[in-house]
Amino acid sequence: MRDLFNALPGPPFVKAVLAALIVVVVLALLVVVFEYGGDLIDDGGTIG
Amino acid sequence: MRTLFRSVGWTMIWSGLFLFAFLGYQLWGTGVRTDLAQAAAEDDLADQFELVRAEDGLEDTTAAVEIVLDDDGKVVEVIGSEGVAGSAFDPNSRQILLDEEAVAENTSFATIRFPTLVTRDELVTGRVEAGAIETEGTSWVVFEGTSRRTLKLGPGHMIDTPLPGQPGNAVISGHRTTYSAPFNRLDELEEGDPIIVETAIGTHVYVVRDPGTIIDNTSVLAMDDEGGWFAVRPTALWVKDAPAEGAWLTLTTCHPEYSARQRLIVVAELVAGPNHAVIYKDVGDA
Repeated sequence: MRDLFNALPGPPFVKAVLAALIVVVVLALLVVVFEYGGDLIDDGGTIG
Repeated sequence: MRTLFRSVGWTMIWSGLFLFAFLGYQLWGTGVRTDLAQAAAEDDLADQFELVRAEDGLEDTTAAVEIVLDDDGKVVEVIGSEGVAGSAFDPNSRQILLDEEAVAENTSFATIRFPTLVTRDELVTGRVEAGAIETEGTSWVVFEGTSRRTLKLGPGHMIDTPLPGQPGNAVISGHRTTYSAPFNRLDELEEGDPIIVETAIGTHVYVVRDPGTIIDNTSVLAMDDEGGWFAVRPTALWVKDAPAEGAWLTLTTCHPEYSARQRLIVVAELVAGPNHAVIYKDVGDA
């Protein structure tokens, strides 16, 4: 983790902001995948 | 090379954890939301039924309905479900008491029960009060609408179809594997099994019909040997229309299990309920 953090460009403050952004984006992606990925196994069974 | 192996190893570990988390959420996590919604809706529905009955001057006849079941759980006879006070058929709108527009989207308006989906050996047979038939784990509050949001709460009634207990074909959809899987065991229903729908105007008893005798469509992909269900593509809109006369209930869910590739359909006909006599008299007169 620390290696990944250090690999981010800029001074420590910028690294922290970038790391937070990455975490937010990853969490948002997870929410989308968890929410809509389930449609592959069961989309509610409606017609049309 | 060592760094490469380490990276691949970590990637596989995280992928595995992600997969477990994803499946765990889909199979069990989603059910938490549905169970909470169902518990809250049951309380709301009892109040709502009382309100509608008070407004329309109806009696609560739910407890008076008795269903005679044989040893296999098939309906033999239904007693005491006809002639609810205040029942009135409007031939122009073809609606009886419950008006489609009176039920708002996302609100609960009925319950649906599948008595034979308890273990058949445990099923109480003979003359049984409808409300007392053992249905633990097989009773669901039905919501109006079939949007993604609505179906997370429980089974949903397709808005452009008649309400249960009304003339025509009422269509109700539900999840089969996620969100508490209300229609998980729909494939176990057989011809003659009862499906009980309670609305504010009373208890509507439907009986599963063999689709082989009523469906004549070449787009059917599979049909159950026991006469309980058939499978179609999700775009088979004709399922909503058939059959034309009488009062019917069509249940739809995903098929096969763990796939949304097809739809499993169960068709049932109204055999008793507050509107049965007036609907079938109307059909006979037509």
